[in-house]
Amino acid sequence: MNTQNVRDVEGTVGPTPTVAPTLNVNIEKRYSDGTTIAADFDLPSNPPQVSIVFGPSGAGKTTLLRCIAGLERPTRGRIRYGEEIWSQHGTRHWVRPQKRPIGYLFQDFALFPHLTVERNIAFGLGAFSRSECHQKVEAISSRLGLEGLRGRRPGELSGGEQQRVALARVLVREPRILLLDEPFAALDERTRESVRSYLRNFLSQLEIPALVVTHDWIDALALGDEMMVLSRGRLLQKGSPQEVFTRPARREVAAAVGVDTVAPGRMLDRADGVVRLRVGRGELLAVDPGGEDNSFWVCIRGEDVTIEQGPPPRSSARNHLSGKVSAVFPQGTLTKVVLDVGFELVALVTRQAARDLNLAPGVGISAVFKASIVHLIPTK
Amino acid sequence: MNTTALATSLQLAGATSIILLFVGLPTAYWLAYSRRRWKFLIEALVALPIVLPPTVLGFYILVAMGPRSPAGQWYERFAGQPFPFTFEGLVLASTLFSFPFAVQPMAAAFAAVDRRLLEASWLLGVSRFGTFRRVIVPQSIGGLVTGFVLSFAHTIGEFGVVLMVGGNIEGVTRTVSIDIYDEVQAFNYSAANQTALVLLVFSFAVLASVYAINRKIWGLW
Repeated sequence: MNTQNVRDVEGTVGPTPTVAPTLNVNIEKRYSDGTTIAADFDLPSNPPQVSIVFGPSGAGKTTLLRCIAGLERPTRGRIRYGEEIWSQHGTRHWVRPQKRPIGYLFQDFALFPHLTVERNIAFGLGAFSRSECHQKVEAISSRLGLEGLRGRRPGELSGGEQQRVALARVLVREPRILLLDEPFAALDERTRESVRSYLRNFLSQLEIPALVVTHDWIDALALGDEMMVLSRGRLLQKGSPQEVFTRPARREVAAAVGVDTVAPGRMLDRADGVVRLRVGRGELLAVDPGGEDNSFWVCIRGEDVTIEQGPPPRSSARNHLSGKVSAVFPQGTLTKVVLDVGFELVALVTRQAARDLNLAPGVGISAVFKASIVHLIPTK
Repeated sequence: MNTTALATSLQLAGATSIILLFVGLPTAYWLAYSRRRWKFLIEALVALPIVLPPTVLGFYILVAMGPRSPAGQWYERFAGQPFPFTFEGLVLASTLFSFPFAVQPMAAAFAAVDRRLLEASWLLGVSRFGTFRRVIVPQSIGGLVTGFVLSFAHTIGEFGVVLMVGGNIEGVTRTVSIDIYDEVQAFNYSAANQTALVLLVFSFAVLASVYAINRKIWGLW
């Protein structure tokens, strides 16, 4: 078993140090099928922030969390929390998951089905006396609004309630780092909305850093102070969610954060801080990114594209591309309209707008957008 | 009906199933969670009594524990009596013979426990043993009861191993199944029929309760 080269590092759970330590992760996990996940980042405790690990399913996000929690052993590298080494390849340094001051929220909460809510919450309080235990459970239950549910079994709770119980069970132990694996994946759409803002507020009140894994960029934007994009096992970009969202550094990131149009373009000429690009059979203008590159991935968000009909009015928008509608997909309150303007351009408009303009395949339109909303990623 | 034989049977089954509960739990845990490559060998070894003729097992126990073997000589010095044809001998033989009936349902139940519950427990600071006691056992109680009940029932019903290792000594090693054989040999069909009927009803009741437990017809907690 895996007990033979185990050595506990003493003092893992002790009084809070005056300087909150930083979690430093620099690891590689290789699977026998050749898949490799590599990550190198810091999670500072001071000031505590919410960091998002963002990426499509199968990118290795959960594996990363599991390595930090000690549920999996990295194939290479080191995990360090302040001065303590939790895991270091090739040495005997290893801190058992039991000894890492981590609160881990599982994707489907992993509540113990045979125990009541109260006993679920008290599960990890073995070191405390009965009365202390009771006090702590009481405090966290009222903080999370669980007082009325304490006698229930997990099977009798809604998804949102289960999540709060799982959160209570973790927080009652006063962890120093919070790891959340897809906190919204097991919730239905309506619960999601309310939990998202609730969790945002809750996390900002806690004075500990949190690492949140998600594949949904709405969640990432709603929760994160910092964001890391993981794709096919590699960390592609780090930055604030807004920055990653509006200025993806790579084509994979653009696709992952939901940029609707990502098309290859070649620079034709540049003047006055504006570049003219050929994209497919069409042309467009973008803000000059500078540099030596002349071939780019042209990224345009669907909500930045306006659809117009009739003669082009005078406008500050530099791009008026005429073409026709090639497909229309209603998506909830918005409608996704695929346009052929010499290349495939996606516009997101309201359902009402789509109706008023009679948007249907074959209808002639012009697509209007500012040069400044076109984001260019050099293709190298 | 021979009540002495019935008492012997019940004592034997009780001792065997209690021993198997204690030996079976760690074995089942290992079988359910070990990632050793050679685990299949142990699995095959544990399952062996299911397919092996009882006489083969009995024969090897006699050879291994007989007065001419080192283990048998050691036992005789230690216990003051030879190993074969004693109640203790029967208990060992029954324990080996019923091993898979106890271990397999337990191991299956352990393996069916959601792994994330174990991980959740570890991450809440609870040791592996604490997790076993507080998560795995309550989650697999049906399998544990099944293993216990099946090993009890299987011991009541065994014949070949008992005859090989225990012989047929009234009040010591003569169990109900051997008693039936004796009665038939003596053309005493009505007595045989009576005992046989008791065993039949008992076995049916045991199996029915095992299936009921696993269908969760009765809640166990």
